[in-house]
Amino acid sequence: MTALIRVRDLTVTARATGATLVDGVSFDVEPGETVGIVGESGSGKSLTLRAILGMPPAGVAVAGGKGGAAPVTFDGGAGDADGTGDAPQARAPRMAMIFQDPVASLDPLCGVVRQVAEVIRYRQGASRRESRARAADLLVSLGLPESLRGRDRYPDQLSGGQCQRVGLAMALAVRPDILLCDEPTTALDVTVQRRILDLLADRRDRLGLTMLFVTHNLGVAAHLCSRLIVMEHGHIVETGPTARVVGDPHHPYTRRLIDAIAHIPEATR
Amino acid sequence: MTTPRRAALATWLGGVIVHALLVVALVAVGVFLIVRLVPGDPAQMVLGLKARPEQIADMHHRLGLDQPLWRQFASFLGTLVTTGDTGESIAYHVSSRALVMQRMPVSLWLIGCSAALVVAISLPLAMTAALHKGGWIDQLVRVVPTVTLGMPEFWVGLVLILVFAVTLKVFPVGGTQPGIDGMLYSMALPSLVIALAQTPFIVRSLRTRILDVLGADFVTTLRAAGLPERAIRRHVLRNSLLPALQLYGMKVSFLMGGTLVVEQVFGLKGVGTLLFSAITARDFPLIQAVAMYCALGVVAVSVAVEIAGGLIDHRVRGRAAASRGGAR
Repeated sequence: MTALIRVRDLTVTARATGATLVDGVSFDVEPGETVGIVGESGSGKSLTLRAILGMPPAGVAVAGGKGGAAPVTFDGGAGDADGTGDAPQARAPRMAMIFQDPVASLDPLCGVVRQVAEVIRYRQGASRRESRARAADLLVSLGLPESLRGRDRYPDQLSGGQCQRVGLAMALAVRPDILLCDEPTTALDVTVQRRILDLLADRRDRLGLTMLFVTHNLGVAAHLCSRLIVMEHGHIVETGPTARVVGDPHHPYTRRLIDAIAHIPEATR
Repeated sequence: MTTPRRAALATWLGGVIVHALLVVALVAVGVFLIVRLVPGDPAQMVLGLKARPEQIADMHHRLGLDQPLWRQFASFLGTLVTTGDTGESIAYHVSSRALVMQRMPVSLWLIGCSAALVVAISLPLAMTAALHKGGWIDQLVRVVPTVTLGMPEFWVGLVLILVFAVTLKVFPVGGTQPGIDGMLYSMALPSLVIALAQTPFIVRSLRTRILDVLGADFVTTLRAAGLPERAIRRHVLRNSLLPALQLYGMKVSFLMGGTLVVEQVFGLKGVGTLLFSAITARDFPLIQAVAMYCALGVVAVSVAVEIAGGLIDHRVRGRAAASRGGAR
């Protein structure tokens, strides 16, 4: 099977200091697969995701391997990782992303239905009225209150979990083939985390999404992903099917991540 | 569903208006005290040192200074509330209010036109500068306004007259012309002078704020969702507007009594020149009238800014309602 996303010798450096943040990372993601990238902050996992999206943060440079080969390619087509190349739009898969801080990721002055509707209007080419109705439908289907149909709410009037549902709606409104998730549950309460994860899994299965899921929490990744990539200091230290990586970790860093998952002590059960 | 929302809106608007009325009341007291706070005898100042005692007594009577203080205040407030007047002008022997009202249109036109110009100049400049941060456009936008800021208004005015009125003959040298188009035509240069003095602050505040907002997470979300650049800019601009709007509100307040220089340079009969002549003539009732109506103008502007702020940002409305003990 051909890979949907092909990452080859992806290198990200800080422009100011020249420090290497992601050091020649390569991996493939196949269609329909959910791959987790796990590591601590500073391991380069989020940068890798942003490079795949083609929107690296300001102040970093993205490069590929020798000979100026594109570091990220999709479905055989040329990648557009630095935003300058002209990717064959017709063949390139659609990507969408959801982010770590659900409240800050929404425009605070714009109602959530309006925000989602705007994406629908521009990306699906619907009329103003039509996109508003579709946005409300989408939000309600993702578990937001029915009352949104009648009256829009601002992000600060919703909870963190509700805002992340809006974030997911913004992403799904793009009608993506690939959903990139950057620590989407980290900022949420534990009970809410679980519900959002289940919602993500449900949408992935229903829409046949390919997913890349970045987290520092191996437990969360194991819950959702079929394959794991463990990153440390800009390198991939271990990769393999989730069950194998969690059950039989080869690298000491992976073992430490597994130990870091909080267990409920036997005595209190 | 809409009822509590309406109530919150009404609480907010009511709060804004009550606040404004309080300020107006305080200003009225201050304006009343102008005459009492002047060191020495106001009548003496009006009439000069050679005035005869009966003239002084007569002036005391005209200014109401022979009455006890509370009665003076009561009658001042009474006339102000019922007729909007502060008494007959000493120099012109007509109602002070009528004099101010006669001059008000020109000043309002001047301030209104300059406000429109400030918006028209600041928004695109600040946006362009912020989007090309560090580039030559940005440097230009940051340096040029500072230079024009260093030049006094009367000089900028004279240069504009020389270039656009004398040499190119596209705008009049001064004065006003009848009709709306005539007004716009005569206001072009003077309002440009005022706008040029204000834009540097607005552009700076706006540019900084736009840069902050451009770095916000939600901009990344909108980009990731693939919205076109102009749609993203709309979100950014709206989120950047509030501080600049509040700054501008303060600047315009200063302008209410401060268009004097521009009025002089362009020979406009506005409130500024009226205030100037009132002060020179020690025309206390007229000074009071100008002060009162300028203060009303300032209050009106701040109410407008508050309401505009509430329209831009719903949190302004909520905060106001909450802090004023609204039902929440």
